[in-house]
Amino acid sequence: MDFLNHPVLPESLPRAEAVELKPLSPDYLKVMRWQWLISMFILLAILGILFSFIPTLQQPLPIAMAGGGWLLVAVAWYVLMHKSFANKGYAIRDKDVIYRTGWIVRTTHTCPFNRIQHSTVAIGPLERQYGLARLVLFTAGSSSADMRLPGLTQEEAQNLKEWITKKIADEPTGQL
Amino acid sequence: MNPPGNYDWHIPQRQATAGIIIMLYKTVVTVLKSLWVLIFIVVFRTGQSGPGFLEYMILGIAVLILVQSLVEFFYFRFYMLNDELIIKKGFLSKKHIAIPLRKIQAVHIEQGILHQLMNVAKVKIDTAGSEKTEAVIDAISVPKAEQLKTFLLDERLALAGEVMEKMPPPDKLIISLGAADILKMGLSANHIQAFFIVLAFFMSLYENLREAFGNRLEDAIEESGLYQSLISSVPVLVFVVLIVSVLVSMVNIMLKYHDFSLAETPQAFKLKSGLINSRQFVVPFSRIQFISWEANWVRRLIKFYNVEFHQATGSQVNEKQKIKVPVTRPEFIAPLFERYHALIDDSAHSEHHIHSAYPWRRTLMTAILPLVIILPITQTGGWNAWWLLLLLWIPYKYLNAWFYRKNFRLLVAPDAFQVNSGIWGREVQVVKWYKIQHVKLQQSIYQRRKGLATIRIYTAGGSIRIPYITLELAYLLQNYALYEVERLHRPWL
Repeated sequence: MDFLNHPVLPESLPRAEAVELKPLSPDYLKVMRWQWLISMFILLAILGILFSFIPTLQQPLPIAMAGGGWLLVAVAWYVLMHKSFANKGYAIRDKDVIYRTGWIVRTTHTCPFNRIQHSTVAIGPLERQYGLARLVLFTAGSSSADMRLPGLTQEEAQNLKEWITKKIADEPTGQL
Repeated sequence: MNPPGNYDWHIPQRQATAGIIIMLYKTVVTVLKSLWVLIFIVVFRTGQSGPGFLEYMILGIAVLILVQSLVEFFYFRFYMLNDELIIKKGFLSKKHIAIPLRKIQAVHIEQGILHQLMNVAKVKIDTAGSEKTEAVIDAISVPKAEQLKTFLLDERLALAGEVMEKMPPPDKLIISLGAADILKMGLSANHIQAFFIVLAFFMSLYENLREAFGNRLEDAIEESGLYQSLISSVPVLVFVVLIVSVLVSMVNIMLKYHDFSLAETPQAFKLKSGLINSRQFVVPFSRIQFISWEANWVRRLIKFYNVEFHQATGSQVNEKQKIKVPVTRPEFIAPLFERYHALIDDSAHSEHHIHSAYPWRRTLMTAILPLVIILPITQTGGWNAWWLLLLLWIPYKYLNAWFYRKNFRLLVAPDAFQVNSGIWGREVQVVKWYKIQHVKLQQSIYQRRKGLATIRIYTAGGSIRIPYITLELAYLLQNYALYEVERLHRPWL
C-alpha cells in the first residue's frame, strides 16, 4: 500500500510493534489473584445479605440462579485474568513508553516522553505486600491518567519515574 | 471639569455620574436572574394581607442593590501611573488592576441603549494573551472615552516606538452573522435538547408553585375541570411543548449568537457574540489542537455548518475547550481551517476506508448480543409480543453502521490527517500529526483473527477514533504519529 509520498519511507520508520515487550513481575499475578479472591468474597457476602433479608428470594430457583451466576463470574474472571496477564507487557524506548494489556480486547498504549506532563508512583496495600508498584503517566487533555504501568518492582518504578522526569526536563514538553 | 482634549489621565478619577444608573441596572439584572422565582411567587401570592417576610426580604434586597451600586460607583478610580493604566475598585473586596500599556491590544468603545440614553460610553481594554485581566470602565462621557482611547493607543505606540515602527495590521473580519443567519441556525438546531430543558423548566416551575401554594394548586386545577381537559388533550400538550422547545432553542441561539463576529489577527482568531452576556474569545492558532466542522442532516441541506476549534487551555492543560463557529457559507470553512491546516480532500497522499466486516460486527455487539440477553428477560412474566418490536433495533443499528462505513474516509497527508465521518450528518476532523499526545491501538479477538485493528488518537483537545482498519495500516499510522511527535520539539500549545 502506498502510504505517504514523503522523504521518510514508511518501511524505514521505527516500528513500535517490533519491540520485544518485557513481561510484568510474576508477583503481580499474585496481586491480581488476591484482588479476584477479595472481590468474589465481597460479592458473595452481598448476595448472602440480600438473600437472608428478602424472603421472596429464599426459593430454590433464585438461589440456584444467583449461585450459578456467581460461579460463572468467578470462573470467567479467573480465566480472563490469566489470559490478560500473559498479554501484559511494557517496553521503554529511547523516546516513548509502550504498554500492552488485555485479552478480549488487546490494547497497546504508546506515549512519547515529550508529551508527558507528569508521572507518579503508586503503591496499593496488596502491591506493598509483594514489593510492587505502579507507574502512572499523565499527558495533556485528559483529566485521568493516560497510562498505568502496574506490576513493576518498587525499585524499577522509582528508577523509571526518575528517568522519565529527567527526560522531560532535558527535552522541553513543547509548551510555550 | 477640564476642557475637552486636555484631560490629565494621571489624576485618579471616577466614572461619569450616569454610571450610577448603569451600575444599578447591572446589579438589578444580576439579582433578578437569581431571584426571579421568589419575586414571581410574591407577586402572584394570594390570600395574605399586609406585607410578610418575603416582602421585607425583597425590600432588603432592593436596599442592598442600591448600596452595592453606590459603593461600586464611589470606590471606582482609574488613572495612569508609570506607563500602566490602574483601575481600583471595590469596598469590601478591593481590586487593583494594573495594565501595562505595552500589553494593550485594543480599546473598544461600546454603547448599549442605556448608555446612549445618557450619552455615556463603556470602554473595554483588551490585553494580550488569553488571560482574563480584561479591564472595563462602565461609564464615561463619550468625548472622554474617545480621548482615552486615542491616549492609550498613542502612548502604547510611543512606548513601542523603538521596538516596532508600524501598527500591527488591524483585525480582519471573516464572519459576521445577520438576523437571517441566526434564524436559519435556530430552526435547524437540535430541538431534542431544548425539549428536555423545557420539560425540566415546567417541572421545576410546578415544584416551585406547589411549594408556594401548597395543595391549593392541585385543588384549583381539579375544581376547574382543567384536569379532565388536560388528560384528553395530551397530543395538544405535546405539540405545545414542541413549539415551546423550538422557541426556546431559537431564543437561546439568539441570545448566544447575537451580533456574532469572527476576526483574524496575525496570531489568533477573535470571536465575539452574545446579547445579554457579551462574550469575547481569543483563540491563538498555536492553541488549536485539532479542528473540525460538522452539520446535522437538516443543516447539511441548508448549507449551515459548525466549525469547532478544539483547544487545550493554557493555564490548565488538562482542560479541554471547544469553541464553535457557526458558518453559513461553505466557502468560509476553508479559510478557517487554513490557519491550522487546510482541508486534505485534494492533497491527500492516500485514502483509507473501514473494513467491510464493520457493519455486521457492530450490529452484533451493539444490537444482537444485548437483545439476546434482554428479550428472554422481558418474556419471563409471560408472553408479550410487543417486546418483539425491540428486534427493529437490529436493522436500525445495521443501517447506521452501514452508512457510517460508507461515509467514513481517512485521508493522510505528510503534516496532518483528516477523518470524514457521519451517519446522517457529516463531520470532518483535521489533526496535525505533531499535536498528538498518545496513541492507543486496540484489537479484539475477532480483529486479531482478521488482521484488523481500531486506533484511537489522543490530542490535548480530544480524541479521534478510527475503527476497523487493517493492522498494517494501524501500525503505519501509529509509527508515523510517533515519528512526527518525537523527531522534533515543536511547541504543541
